[in-house]
Amino acid sequence: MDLGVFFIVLGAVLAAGLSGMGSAKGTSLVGQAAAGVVSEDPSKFGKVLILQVLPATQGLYGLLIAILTLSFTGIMGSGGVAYTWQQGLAFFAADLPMAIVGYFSAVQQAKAAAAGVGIVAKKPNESGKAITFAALVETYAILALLVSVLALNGLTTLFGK
Amino acid sequence: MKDTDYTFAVARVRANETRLLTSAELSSLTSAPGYAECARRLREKGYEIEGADYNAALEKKLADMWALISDVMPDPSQFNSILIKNDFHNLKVSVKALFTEKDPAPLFARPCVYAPEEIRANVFARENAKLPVELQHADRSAYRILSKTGFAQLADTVIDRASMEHAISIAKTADHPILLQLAETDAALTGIKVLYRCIRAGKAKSFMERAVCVCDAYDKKDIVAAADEGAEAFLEFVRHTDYAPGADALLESPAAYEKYADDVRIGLLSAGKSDPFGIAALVGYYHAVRAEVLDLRILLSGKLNGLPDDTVRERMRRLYV
Repeated sequence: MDLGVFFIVLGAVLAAGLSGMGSAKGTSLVGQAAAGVVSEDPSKFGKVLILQVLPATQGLYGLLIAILTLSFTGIMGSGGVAYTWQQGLAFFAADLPMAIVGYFSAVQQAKAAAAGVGIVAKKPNESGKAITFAALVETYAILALLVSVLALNGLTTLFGK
Repeated sequence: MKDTDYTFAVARVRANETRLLTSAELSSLTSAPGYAECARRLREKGYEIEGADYNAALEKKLADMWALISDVMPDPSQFNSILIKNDFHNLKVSVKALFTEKDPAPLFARPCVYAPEEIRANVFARENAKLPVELQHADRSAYRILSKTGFAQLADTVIDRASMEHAISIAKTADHPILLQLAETDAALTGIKVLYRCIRAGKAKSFMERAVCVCDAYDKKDIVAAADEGAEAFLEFVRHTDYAPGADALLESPAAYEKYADDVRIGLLSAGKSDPFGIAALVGYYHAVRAEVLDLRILLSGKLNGLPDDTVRERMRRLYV
């Protein structure tokens, strides 16, 4: 295997892996807070579940980027592709926004969502506000996803593969 | 310990905070016509008050609170700097009971770090070495004072000071700065209160020195010197500390100062109220339940004894919720 393909696969693995780690950590954190509330008041399950789901999206975005990377570069599917190490590194760089921002935004969003669980616990009618606070963090995961998609698309066109 | 280890605990406590009485509910209870109506309304809020005996219901509230906290805390020993005061209280009532020959059990404070019954047994048997290490010195000093002079106030003072010193020293080893802040604040507020009492009672400087513990809020030597000069110099000294409003509260009445001190503590805890991951919410809940129980004790006792609503209201504390 040439070095170019190695960098491409590494980028895809990091995009899916780091974002997935962030989401796992995030949903676990909010899950703990949600369990605390539900153990006292099971009727709040639905409201806290929405908050727990929010940091899970980064893992999905990371997976999407990994699939796009492997698909655009032809590693997944046709096979038998070759890339120079510089081309591989460019694809690797394209995956980094999702990998890095995916991890940190999931963890930070989880903290906002766990704080929101406290709002739901004390004032269930204000759950919309709690969800909004946490959802705003999602913006930066979406921006990172966008940058990674555009960069992958541009590189695929540039290298003509 | 990670900064998110209290996530589950805080969320459970938050859910339980909704069961605490709000200021409006407490105010409405204060205006309720008579003890029976108060007790009825409290039964609706989950207090199992039967007849004129409200103590069991209030004690149960405290026991339930501690059961919850100790259940959800990753490390309940983090609370020792708060609970140790109850152990010193239990030591105090046990040592005094030795001389008054009364059973101290009804006066035991809970929750505590060590079993009060064991403290009582060891105090009664004069097995000083079997007492928890933190309590041994205070026990020896208080016993010596009471047996030689019968000066109960000095014995109380010695134990109270040891209690605050140990609370600070335990809080210094804890993982959470809020615990040290609380212990320091408590020592500072109690020091001011005790010194003012000493001035009013005409106590000697040597007594004052034994009564006050070292804390960050003021220099012990300076505050004792100010107290030795008299009330005016002392209050002027207090006005230049972080507890300046306490000077006016002292002038107003002892109850006003107690209320001010509780307000300061609750204010300190309210600052950490929004932290969804730290111990502050648990400490806040602990103090909130204690404040609620104390308020209800004042309220129900006042209603039973036919005290005017305004007198009851004046003695009640600011609530955390």
